[in-house]
Amino acid sequence: MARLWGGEASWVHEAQRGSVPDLEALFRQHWPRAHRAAFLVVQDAAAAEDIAQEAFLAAVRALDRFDRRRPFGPWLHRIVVNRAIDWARARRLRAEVGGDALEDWAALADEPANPYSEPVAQALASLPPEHRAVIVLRHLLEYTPGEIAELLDLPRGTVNSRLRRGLDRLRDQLPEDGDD
Amino acid sequence: MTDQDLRRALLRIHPPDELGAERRAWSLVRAAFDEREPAQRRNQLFRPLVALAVALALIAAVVNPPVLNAIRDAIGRTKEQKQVVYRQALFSLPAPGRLLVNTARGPWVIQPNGGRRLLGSYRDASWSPRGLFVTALGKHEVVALEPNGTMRWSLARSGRLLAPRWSQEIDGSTRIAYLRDRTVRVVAGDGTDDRLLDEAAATAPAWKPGRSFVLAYVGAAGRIRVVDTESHRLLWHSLLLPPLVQLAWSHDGTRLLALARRSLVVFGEGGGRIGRTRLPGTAVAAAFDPRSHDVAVLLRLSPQSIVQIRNADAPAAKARSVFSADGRFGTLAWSPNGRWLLAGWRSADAFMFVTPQGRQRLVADIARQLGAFPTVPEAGWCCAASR
Repeated sequence: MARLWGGEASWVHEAQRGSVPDLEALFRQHWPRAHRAAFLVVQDAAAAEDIAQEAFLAAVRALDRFDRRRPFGPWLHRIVVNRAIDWARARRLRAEVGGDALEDWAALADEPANPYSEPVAQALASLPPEHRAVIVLRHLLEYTPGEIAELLDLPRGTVNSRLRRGLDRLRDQLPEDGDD
Repeated sequence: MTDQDLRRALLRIHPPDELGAERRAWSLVRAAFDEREPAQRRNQLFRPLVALAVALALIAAVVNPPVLNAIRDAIGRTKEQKQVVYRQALFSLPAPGRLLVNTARGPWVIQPNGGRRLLGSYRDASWSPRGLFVTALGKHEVVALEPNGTMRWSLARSGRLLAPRWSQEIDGSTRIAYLRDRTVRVVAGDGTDDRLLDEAAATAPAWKPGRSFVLAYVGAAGRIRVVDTESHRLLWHSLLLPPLVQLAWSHDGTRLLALARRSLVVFGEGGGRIGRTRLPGTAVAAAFDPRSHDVAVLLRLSPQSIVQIRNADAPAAKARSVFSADGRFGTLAWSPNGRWLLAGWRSADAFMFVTPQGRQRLVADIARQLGAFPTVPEAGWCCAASR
């Protein structure tokens, strides 16, 4: 699992005692990655915001019961990614089309160009939500396959096969190195 | 593409309006944190003391059996008290009265202390005038229920049923108006004498408070029609209006509010137009203050929602904002004493209670408590006195 930062344990402890600045530190630390992970799985800006918000609200409600010896991130990411998968599955069942996801994708940041970002965004969109989730957990949030299995309550073999198939499909759809 | 390339690519994909989303989320998280109950922390502090007391009591029990019996009694009582406290802790209302809400699972009646009851698989429930009964819709029936869920009567009706609304009581009688397909119908409060009144649009009808059964509804031609339902006499009708979100009478029956998506019009008792105004956002709901001609209007100005108070005697006058927040709000209801307004904050899974003076109270985690996020009928917070 992710490392337990001394600062984070202290934020949790102080937030449990009612400190708003420590709660805010915890929020600012974890919001960007939780929000981005939700967005990459659901590919819908409004839904990603709702999912990440709900996860934080759930965290606040359960704060008193939270064991501060445990890292906060995996606990939050478990909620975010599982809700995101549920939402994406439900949307797939409704067979919705359109939406703002691909058009808005990337709001790509004004950072040094990465030739893969846009193709990765588009290729990721073609994967089933379960595959997107394991790729996001592995390559954005940097969990090991064993940790992902625990977070998603799946056998480790299933995680490995979803990762392998997801990455194969992703790479199939990306331009070869050196292509423009 | 290496794993490193993939990670870099994922890190460069940002959700749209990332900073705005963070700002909105923080305001919600902060509000929920402020409303957190500190009781559990106190329990944790007391836990070692309780453990010590139990240990001492057990030692005493070994040497003195009557002490053991006393401990058994005490444990029994504690368990009972805990159950009561748990129900109360789930939800509570800041003013007297009971709350009727509609969810995908069915309507719930919520008592001021948080006790609550699911009435069954019905929808679109609303109170009878004194809160003694509830009318609601089944799949193909209009029903009257007691607040404990017992059915009083059921009227089987095919077609698309909508918006049953119970009238005030006049000489011991009441009426229920409801929409069926493109018509409005009226049935007596005991489930008898169901009859067609007119063709109608899909806006919920509204009974005029007063000494006769007078109903306002939107006719098929898009005009408001105000009709005496006993004689079928048309008392007045409006000019053509844009599609209406809601009709609402003031509690003295002298003002009728017609709320459209981008405007509102107020009519007097006889149909004269008191005034109209364009709204600065999209109207979601409105509710009259039970003590005055003030009306609360819930507007959506993406990404915010705003609750404004307007005076129905001068609807174009400057409105007073009592609450605004990011996110989607649904319904709006006044407490029976007119001191609190309830706005359903769907995107925060919370009920926001606000006073016209701006005092606020947030109750979070609503969907978990009720199985789904609810809507509240306009007069859903009803009748302080219960049976």
